[in-house]
Amino acid sequence: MNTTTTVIEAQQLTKNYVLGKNNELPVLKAVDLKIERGEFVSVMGASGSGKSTLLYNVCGMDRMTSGSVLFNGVDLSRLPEPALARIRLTNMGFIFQQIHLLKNLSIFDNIVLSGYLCGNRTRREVERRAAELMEQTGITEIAGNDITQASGGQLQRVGICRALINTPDIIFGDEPTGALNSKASGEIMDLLGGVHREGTTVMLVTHDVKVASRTERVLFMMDGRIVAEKRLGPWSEDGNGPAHKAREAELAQWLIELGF
Amino acid sequence: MIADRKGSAHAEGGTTMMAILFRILRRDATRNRIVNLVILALVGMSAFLLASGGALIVQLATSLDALFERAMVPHLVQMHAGELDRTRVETWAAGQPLVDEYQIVEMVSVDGSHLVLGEWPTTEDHGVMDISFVAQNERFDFLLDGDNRPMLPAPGEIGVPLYYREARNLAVGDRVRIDTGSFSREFRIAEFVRDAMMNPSIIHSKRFLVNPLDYAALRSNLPDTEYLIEFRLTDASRSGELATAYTEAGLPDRGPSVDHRIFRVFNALTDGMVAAVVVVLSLLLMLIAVLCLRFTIVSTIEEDYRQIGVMKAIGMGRRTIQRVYLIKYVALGGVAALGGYLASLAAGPALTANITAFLGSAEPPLLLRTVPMIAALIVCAMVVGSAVLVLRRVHRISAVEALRSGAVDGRLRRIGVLPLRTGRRAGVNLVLGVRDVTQRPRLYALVVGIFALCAAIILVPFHFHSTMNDPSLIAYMGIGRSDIRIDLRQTDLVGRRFDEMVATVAGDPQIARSSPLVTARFTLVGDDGTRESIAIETGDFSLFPLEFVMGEAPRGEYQIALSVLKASDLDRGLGDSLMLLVDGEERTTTVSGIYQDVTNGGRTAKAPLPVDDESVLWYSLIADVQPGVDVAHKTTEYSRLFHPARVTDLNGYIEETLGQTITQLAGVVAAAIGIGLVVAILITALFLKMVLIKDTARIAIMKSVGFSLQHIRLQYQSIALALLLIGVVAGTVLSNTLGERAVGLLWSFMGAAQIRFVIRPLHAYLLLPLLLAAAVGVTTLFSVSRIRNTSIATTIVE
Repeated sequence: MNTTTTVIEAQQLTKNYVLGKNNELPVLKAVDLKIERGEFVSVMGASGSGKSTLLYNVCGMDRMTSGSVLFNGVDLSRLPEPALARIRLTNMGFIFQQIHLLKNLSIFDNIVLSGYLCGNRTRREVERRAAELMEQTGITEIAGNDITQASGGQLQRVGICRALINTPDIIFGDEPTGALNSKASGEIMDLLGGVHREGTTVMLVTHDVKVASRTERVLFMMDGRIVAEKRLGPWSEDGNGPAHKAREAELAQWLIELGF
Repeated sequence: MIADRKGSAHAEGGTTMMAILFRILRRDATRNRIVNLVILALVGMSAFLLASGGALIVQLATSLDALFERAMVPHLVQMHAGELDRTRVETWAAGQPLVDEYQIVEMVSVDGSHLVLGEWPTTEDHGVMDISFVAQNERFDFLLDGDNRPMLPAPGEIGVPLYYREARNLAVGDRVRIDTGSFSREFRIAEFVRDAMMNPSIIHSKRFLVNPLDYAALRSNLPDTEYLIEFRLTDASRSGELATAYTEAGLPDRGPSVDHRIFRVFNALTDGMVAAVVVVLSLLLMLIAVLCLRFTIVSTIEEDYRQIGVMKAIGMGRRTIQRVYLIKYVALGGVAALGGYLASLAAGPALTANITAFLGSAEPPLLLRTVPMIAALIVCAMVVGSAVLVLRRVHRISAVEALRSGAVDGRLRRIGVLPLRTGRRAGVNLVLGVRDVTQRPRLYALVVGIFALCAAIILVPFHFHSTMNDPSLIAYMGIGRSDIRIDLRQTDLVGRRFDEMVATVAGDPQIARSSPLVTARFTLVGDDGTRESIAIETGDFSLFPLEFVMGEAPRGEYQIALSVLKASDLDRGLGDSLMLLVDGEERTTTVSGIYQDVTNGGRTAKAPLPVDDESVLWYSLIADVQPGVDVAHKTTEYSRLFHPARVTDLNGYIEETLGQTITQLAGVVAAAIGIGLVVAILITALFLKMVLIKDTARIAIMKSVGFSLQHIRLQYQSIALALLLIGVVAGTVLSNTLGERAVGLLWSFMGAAQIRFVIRPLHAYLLLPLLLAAAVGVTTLFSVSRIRNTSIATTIVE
């Protein structure tokens, strides 16, 4: 694992979408952002505020228009696509709203695939790690199943296992609970909390106040800029306890004040 | 240490990746059974046909080489009828440095009316073949047995040309009887002989092989003899030079002179054409297979667009993603190519039966195994190559785009075409179906293209077959259309007999019109003063007009018409001049027209020139009977009257000359119709499968708003039939234009440059399209039955 304290550092990060000749839509406007190792950060904002774009740009999946993003001190804007892909495979994990697994592989094979591709560990180590992760996320019994034989909540757990198989420095989540009911959503947040507790940095994009209130730090975006930030204190383990209710209310109030 | 561990993990990662790819393959094989089977079948058929075509060509070439080598075919043959001064020819030949060996072969001519073959009910009176009896040659030009060894019949035995085995249904042990009235002799068929020079039906001379003792008996009882003056050269490519030297020496030349290249072309013709058609078919199928493959891959990429985006997002490299998809096509291509190759090995003996029968089989050469294998590998490579090309579009997929939009093409469909209100009368379902075709043109254009190719696969061989079976085929044989044709070969007093014949026919009240045509040898003076001999048909060409590709029939003694190949050999076009020696004087003639001719090697000429009796090669007379007169009856009457002239009616002439080719072609037509239908069925199944997968949500919505299963099926059936209709129209146009040209190209090697398809409208425009429509309709019915499983609930869950 890298020992620098800052995992992500974006400076003057700007992203414009080209709509046509001489017609560009600015989506990120000179954003500065620093995420320290082990932090659990969520990004909120209205639709079109630029939160997903921020996530895709800081992970090197999208090419920024200007500015820079340092990942573990390495400037992503200077790296070619294969090197970026390698970093995403080895050092980053991703969870999406819709998990999109390879339909011609079993659930277990979907999880180990990234591990095999990474090539940092032997086959046995990869498989042991996958078994551990499946055990932790409670999906061991469906390992050999087809992906069509799993529920939405189970598939999201598979996604988490896939994201964690190479023990990444950071997990990015784009609305990871967006397609789940509140119970399943809470369970997924419990799992991500566990990941965070083990020292992994987590950055989520979400609309859900309940989800955001369990993270340590909430960034609020509006019109392509981070306009406000709130530190909520250490990770909220019990999402249903009275202490957490108060924390959730506090965040909601803050968001109302910001016009969300 | 760490580096070592990492290295081994990487190496192991490679093998585990392979294991994962195989697991992907295994699951895909069961999930997409129909699509995979269709592609497997298409590629397999294409590999089978290409491998078979390759095997045919190799077998043809090697058998031909072996036959020519074993038979020791002469490089130049001058035929001669009449008196022969042997010593003069031998003295001349001995002095030619180019001549390696020479021989004069004497043949006893037997009139068809004196010959009965086996149990055949009639004599060979009506046959177009000139029949001769010979003894085995000593030095070269051997007639070979089934094992390609010079055949040596015992006394009383006979070797019959292979042509007659099929044409007269003969078997070893059958009898052959010559009976002239004053002399008769019977032979037992000991063998069917391969005659490298005269095997093909298109050559109107056939040699029967008998024991030298029997030959001597025939020689002393039958007066007509002909000679083949044969040469083997030290350099076979210089046969033209020797032919010119021969003519210039004024040696006996009453008969055509032929060189070994013509024998090769004629021997290769029928099977060569079949091989060419098979190869063309396989290429068409390969094109269809590649188009289908593209369609399948593009659909899969569209379907998996988001999945590919995710794979990219989580850091899988482009190559790895490509491999995930490519593995299937490598496997499909490999299995299909192997299957096609093995099938071609199994079908090989049947496919090459005609070649091995007529030309014999050479030692199975390495090529016969390797060429089909290479052909199958080419098909496999085409499949994998096209898959790689199409899969390049994976590179263009942006992970972010895919994750955001989840669809390949966010553009809205055109909605203006054919508003739904027009459907009140025509039926909403029909309109919805047709609207869908106009709204997704790219998707459907491919299917239309494939249907068009299917129609062409069926129609082109069908048109070709119809053309070959039509009396208008005569237009390509360099003769005018007539009811009866009489050919008179060189015999004593032939000139007088011909004059009598012409007078008799002209005076026959049952004959509407007749025209004598005399083919004679003239000398052509080249631009550089070199001289070569040329056979020119003379007469009045206005009575039975020929079809000309360019220009018109020669009029007057200063015009000449040339066949397409002759014009090309001489490098002359319409209006160009040609210097001839006529009556010993130079005469400049102008090319007045160019016509098509597939007879006599495709190299002939026609001009109304004065003929000197000495230079005549053969005499012909063509005639039309009066309306109501029975042609067959007249033919028989003339055969008797003008004995030993050969009298044939037009259909008989075509049948005997091209019958064998037509029969083989009929087989190809049947196969083509079968292949076209199978491909149409496969494609319809594949296409509907893919469209129904794409349209899962659309169908679910339609069902939820109250469309019945029957309604939805009707929509897809109208789509499939609308596409078929467009495809068949396009295919018909394609067949009648490009198809005609492609067949023309095949035939141009024989001498017909501009073939015009004879189209049987009932079959071509109604029955065959109906057959295709039925096949597509039934397949559609079966394919759309899977719509039953789609419901809005399952779609929403998905």
